Amino acid sequence: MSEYTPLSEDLLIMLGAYVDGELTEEERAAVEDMASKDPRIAEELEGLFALNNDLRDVFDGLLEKPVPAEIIEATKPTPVPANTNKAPLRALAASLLIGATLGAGGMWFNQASKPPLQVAAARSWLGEVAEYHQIYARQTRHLVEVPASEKDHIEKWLAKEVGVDFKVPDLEAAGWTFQGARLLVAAGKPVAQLMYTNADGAVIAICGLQNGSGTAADTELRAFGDVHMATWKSETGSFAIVGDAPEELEALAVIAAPLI
Amino acid sequence: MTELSKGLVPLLPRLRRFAWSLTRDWPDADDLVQTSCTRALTRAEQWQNGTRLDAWMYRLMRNIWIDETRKRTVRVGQGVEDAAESSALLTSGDSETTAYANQVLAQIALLPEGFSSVLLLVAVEGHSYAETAEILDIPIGTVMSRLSSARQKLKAALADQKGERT
Repeated sequence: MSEYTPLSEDLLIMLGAYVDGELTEEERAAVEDMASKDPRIAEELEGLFALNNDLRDVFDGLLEKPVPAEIIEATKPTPVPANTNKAPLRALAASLLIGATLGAGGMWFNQASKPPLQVAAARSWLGEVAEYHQIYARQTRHLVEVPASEKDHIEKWLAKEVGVDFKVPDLEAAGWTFQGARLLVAAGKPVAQLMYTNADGAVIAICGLQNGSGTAADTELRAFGDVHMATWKSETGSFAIVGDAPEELEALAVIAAPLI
Repeated sequence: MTELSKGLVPLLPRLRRFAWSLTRDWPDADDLVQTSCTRALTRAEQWQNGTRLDAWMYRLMRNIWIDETRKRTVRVGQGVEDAAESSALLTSGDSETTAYANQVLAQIALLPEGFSSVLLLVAVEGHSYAETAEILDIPIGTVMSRLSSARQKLKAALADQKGERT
């Protein structure tokens, strides 16, 4: 196949700089001229472009990995107890919380500190879902794991993984188009996440997991920072519809609940 | 919520990816992101709102990771076990695409230390050589030679694998 002498290191660096858009007009022209005369250079350029495409696909795939809750927790400013003027107590509480965050976080950065309290111990699945939503709603290019075109597969796949039978609710009449689905893990349990967008590009998600209690519950509105959700339960599943506009979510929950 | 804290949340998937390019090990990458976020919040005043938060975080992460690798007696990233771990990186999508992606990741993990971050920053995220040099605190010439060397090694390794499969 390749019997010829390899291209020089300097030339390879220059070809790389061409692919990376780092050359001036004249340098680009010079590379293009060389490529038109030497098929090895043309082939090398083609290989570099192809490798860049592969690298983009592969590295972009890493963005799909769900972010662990502890990391999301670490982006929050240390909470300071409200309604108190007892500064020393406040400082103590803050230092305990910092200790807990560091202790839970960088195991290898802070060997000596023992976490005095578990800040993240009582996290609900809804709180985690709210945080996922803040991330995934911005991933317009990577909104879903499985696209809407595979709706039948999504229903079977998620029912099997999550353990709740459900249908993907059709919310077209309300202006929301089904885009596809993801599987998440929240509070240690598998959670199905169905993503919808509207004409303005806003994103909502319907999330569902097994209902451990076995009792149904009516629609309830909750807020987690800027993220709002309407929740309800059937006898088998706990559901939440997640987005930015609370009034609309409640109405959508009423539409979606009997369809799911 | 501070501006910084708000800005960090949507960046997390990219921060983790950059952390993996430094550590090439997911538990280390996650520890690094967590520690870096915590530290960023304690230095929030050093970040100027309006400037690029990603580059600022990348520099912070790179510095923390350098300190950490200096502290460790056993250095990571020599490639022996990392490649095996990274083969389990991607599990979704259709199996053939995933298998190829895993091969590419395993090969990236085998590159010499410091090469994969250069690839990520330039070839994937489109940072200029100058920006990459600043983030990683290395000369531009090193950015260029690492990039070229990383690409040649990857191309050769992936061509070998394709050859073995057929």
